[in-house]
Amino acid sequence: MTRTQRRRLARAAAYAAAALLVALVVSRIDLDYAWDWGRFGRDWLGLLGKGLLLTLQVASAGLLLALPLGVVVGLCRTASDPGARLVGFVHVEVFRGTPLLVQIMIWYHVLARPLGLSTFGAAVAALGCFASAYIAEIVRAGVQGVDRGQMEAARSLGLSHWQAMRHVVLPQAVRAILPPLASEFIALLKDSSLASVIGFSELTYQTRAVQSGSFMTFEPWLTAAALYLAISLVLSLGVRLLERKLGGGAAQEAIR
Amino acid sequence: MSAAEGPASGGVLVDARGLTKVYPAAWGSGRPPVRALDGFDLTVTEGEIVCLIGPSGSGKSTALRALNGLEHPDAGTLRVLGHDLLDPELDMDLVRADVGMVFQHFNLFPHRTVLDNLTLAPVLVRGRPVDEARREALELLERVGIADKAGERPGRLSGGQKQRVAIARALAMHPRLMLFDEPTSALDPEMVGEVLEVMRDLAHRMTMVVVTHEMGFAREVATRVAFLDGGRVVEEGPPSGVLDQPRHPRTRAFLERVLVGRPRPTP
Repeated sequence: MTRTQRRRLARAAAYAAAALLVALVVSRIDLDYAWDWGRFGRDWLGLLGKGLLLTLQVASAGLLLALPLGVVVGLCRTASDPGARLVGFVHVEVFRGTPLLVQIMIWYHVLARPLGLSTFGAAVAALGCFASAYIAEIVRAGVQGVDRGQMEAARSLGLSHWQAMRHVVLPQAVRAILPPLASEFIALLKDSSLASVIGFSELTYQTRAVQSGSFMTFEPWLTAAALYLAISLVLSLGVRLLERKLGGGAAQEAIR
Repeated sequence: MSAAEGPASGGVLVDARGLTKVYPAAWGSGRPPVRALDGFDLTVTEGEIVCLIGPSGSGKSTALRALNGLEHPDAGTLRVLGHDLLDPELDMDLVRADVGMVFQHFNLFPHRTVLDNLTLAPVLVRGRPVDEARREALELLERVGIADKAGERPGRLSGGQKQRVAIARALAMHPRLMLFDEPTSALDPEMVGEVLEVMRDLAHRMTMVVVTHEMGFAREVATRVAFLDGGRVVEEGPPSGVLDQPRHPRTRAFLERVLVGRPRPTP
């Protein structure tokens, strides 16, 4: 058998195994389940729609908080000032080192009253701070990936550290930052489902409500999954378009 | 500007005394720390062209980079354009705006056009109006012979063109002192000439400190050559002295190595 033949055989075997696994799982699903998409669509889909709207709101508000916060914290981690570096370090470790579910509980039960936060506010704060820790690490890696000579050249011309960062380093880091940032956006969207535990009636909360109200399980959960997936795909595509738009110009030439 | 921080008296632009710089060894590497500078002295007066030569690891680049604060010596005194560079209170950006630097690897900003590379600092640091900065940038590009590339990104330029842009970028800030860190070492041989030509032209009206391996350039253009070894200046003087009649054995050994196969003018 030649190398190519062996490879083809291995690939076919892998596909077959995967297909077998899926078939096995599907075959074990309760086939007696009484599907009723008609009733679901008529009586309950509207509630999921409401939940979807709130999911979009809490996720975008969380993103609006996480993005600037993450950029600032990430830049702090690359700063020369040891105080700024320490603040960045603590921020990342605290929000990355504890479970989001626990953080949501703390925002809601401990911090919401003194800070005057609504349920929505607590959810946004929890999601935003949590995601900012990851965004900070993404920004830091992107900035550190830009050739050190760029910062040196900018500083040699008399630019301040922040001027050099803003006009020279960050624009070149953006391309490396975008793909992992897209993953982080999607993670934020999905993590917003955890806000259901503090009674915030986003998509997952509403899906559970529909389940207990209608005694249907398959339709609401599959629909919820499809809705999350749809938003994720839109986000992915959006970032990919942005990447392509940025890719044509400077980035190719950044590689000397 | 106060008298203490004003233009240096007697046209002394650089006054370095006993500079020391030790790089600690990487933790656990078992290697000894590196003494990059070990009692480095250098004085540069206005209008001088000083070439720093010496074997690799002799501290040439570290010394040069200390002159605009890219390296921070551990000890010694260092005055550049009248500013005390080792004073922690000093606003280094002020000094850097007046000291041009040209790097071995050009370090052009790849995301900006050639013209924008030149105008960025004058607009941001000097607060010059954009159209005025552009006009002058075009004149500078004309002077280094690449005005036709003003709208290109640096990535489309040859090495020699990149380095000429880098020189023009530094000149756009109207520096009082220009530092060159092996400006031709990363170039293909056929492009060395065009960069040296620009530097030769510039030497008539600029004070320059040049780290170089181009002995021909040093002999022709330098007003003074300083030979470094072990982080200090071992021998310095006019090129005719240091390059043609070196007194120090280490200078002699170095020159014999780098000038192998080249005709040396008899004294």
